[in-house]
Amino acid sequence: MGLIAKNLARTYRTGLWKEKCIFRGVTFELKSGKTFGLMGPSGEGKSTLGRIVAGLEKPTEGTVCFNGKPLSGMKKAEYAAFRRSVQMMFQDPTEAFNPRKRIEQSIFEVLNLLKTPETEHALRTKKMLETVGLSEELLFRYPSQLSGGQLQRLALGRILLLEPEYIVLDEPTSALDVSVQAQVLHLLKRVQAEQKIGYLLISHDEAVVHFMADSYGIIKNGQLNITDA
Amino acid sequence: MNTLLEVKDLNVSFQGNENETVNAVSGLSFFIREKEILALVGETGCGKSAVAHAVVRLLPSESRVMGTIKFGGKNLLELSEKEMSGLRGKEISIIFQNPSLALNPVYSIEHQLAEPLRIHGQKMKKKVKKTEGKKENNALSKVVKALESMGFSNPHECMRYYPSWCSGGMNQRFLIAASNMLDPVLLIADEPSKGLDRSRVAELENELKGLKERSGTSMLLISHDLSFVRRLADRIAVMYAGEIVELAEPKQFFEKPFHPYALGLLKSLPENGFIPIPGSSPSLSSLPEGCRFHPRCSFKEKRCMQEHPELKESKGRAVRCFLWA
Repeated sequence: MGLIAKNLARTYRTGLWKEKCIFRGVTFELKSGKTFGLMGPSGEGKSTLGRIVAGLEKPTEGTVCFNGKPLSGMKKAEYAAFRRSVQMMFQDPTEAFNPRKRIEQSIFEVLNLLKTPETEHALRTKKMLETVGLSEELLFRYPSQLSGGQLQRLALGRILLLEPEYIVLDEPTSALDVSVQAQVLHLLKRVQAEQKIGYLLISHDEAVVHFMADSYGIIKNGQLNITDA
Repeated sequence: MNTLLEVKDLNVSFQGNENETVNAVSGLSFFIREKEILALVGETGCGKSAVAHAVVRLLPSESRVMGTIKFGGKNLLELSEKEMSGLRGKEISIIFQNPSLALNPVYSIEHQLAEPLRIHGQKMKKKVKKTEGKKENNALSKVVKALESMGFSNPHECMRYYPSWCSGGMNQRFLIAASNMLDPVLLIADEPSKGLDRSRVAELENELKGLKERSGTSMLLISHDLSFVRRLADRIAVMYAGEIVELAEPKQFFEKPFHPYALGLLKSLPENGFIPIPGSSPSLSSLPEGCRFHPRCSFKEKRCMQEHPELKESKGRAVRCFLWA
């Protein structure tokens, strides 16, 4: 069934009587356990497209269908299930965590939202940290005390607590240096193989997309051209 | 060539959340010659941006900065805030890392690009009162030229934009254009290629090269994009956990890196298969005994865990490792 973007278009108002269309007729499908790479010059709407697929923004035209149902016609409970199943990982991990809270609090917040009994918090957090390859010691630190790589791993771990079916990865390694980028890419691949998560990987880095993606599209002049990797 | 910037024994520390001391930069020394591009590379959180902010004196007031930063014969750390403001944006310019935080959301791009001209052009305004209209046009044409050099084909339309209307990559290019408005003597570029696609990186590369050739601008280039650094830099300094571990020319560095961390960095490049360095960098508030890289080093010896290696220089390069003799 998958996550399908159908004929998406996005237009912005740039003045009282002026509009600018950033893309039109964009169609692609995300499949479980597969990665679809999205490349293109800056300003072509890659991140906007990612936000639309994750349900964080509405398209001007077209629809996003999750498991065969368009988002616009979903009931409240269905939409909540969609929002939980489709997560988004952002470019800058330092902005993904509340700077005033210890990492432990940010993780437990998600577990509370999931109504996980408090007695299970420690165990689930420990499991999550094992998955992303981090030590428990980090839980008692503040975001400013962690490196970009550690925070990006934690951001992924926090998303994994929600057991998503799809993750929109918006430039997940562009804020990281090459050695940390390699660590995070290998981690993403391992998690995908283990949990069959479908990725929409937004990146301007061709090497990253070729390393990760099963197929990819290039968005340019408002149009998407898809190629098999 | 003469030395433009000389940093000696720079130490930057902050008070951490638990009252512990975070040693962001430890005993860092380097120099930049006139018309030279020195690249600073290394893992996120290793202190690269702290060095950049120390040079332009934009570190938070609670941070402790020690050492000397000599620019044009003056120690920047001893200048008054007024003297420093006179240098910032005119002689020393900085491209900040995060465009969404560096651009003011309530002002148009035109306003923000013309700001350095307004601030540093006040004296000029008094002298050329009669030609004020012409001066305004000059400022406008400078803004248009700066936008064109950053690859904007519609500069007059772009000038009306606000940062929130634009993508991260576009805002990054606006920031770069703003920092080059007054052809600075020293440009500090903190991750200028971050968020830009390949064609934009090529444009940026040409613009920075042009700035060096045209205006003789020296640069402290901070980047994690090693291929970008390879094409632009005259020398490369590799930082790890707050200190320089290797300093070499690009050819030497890419053909035969000496420090095990530098070797690991090159192995994690896409062309080498994204092979990661195991483990993660130490917390700057609890640095390991001995060599700071030893917990992740596959070549470590007993001595590496006990003694801290010095940065040793030989034949135009410097390495901080006991294995390099």
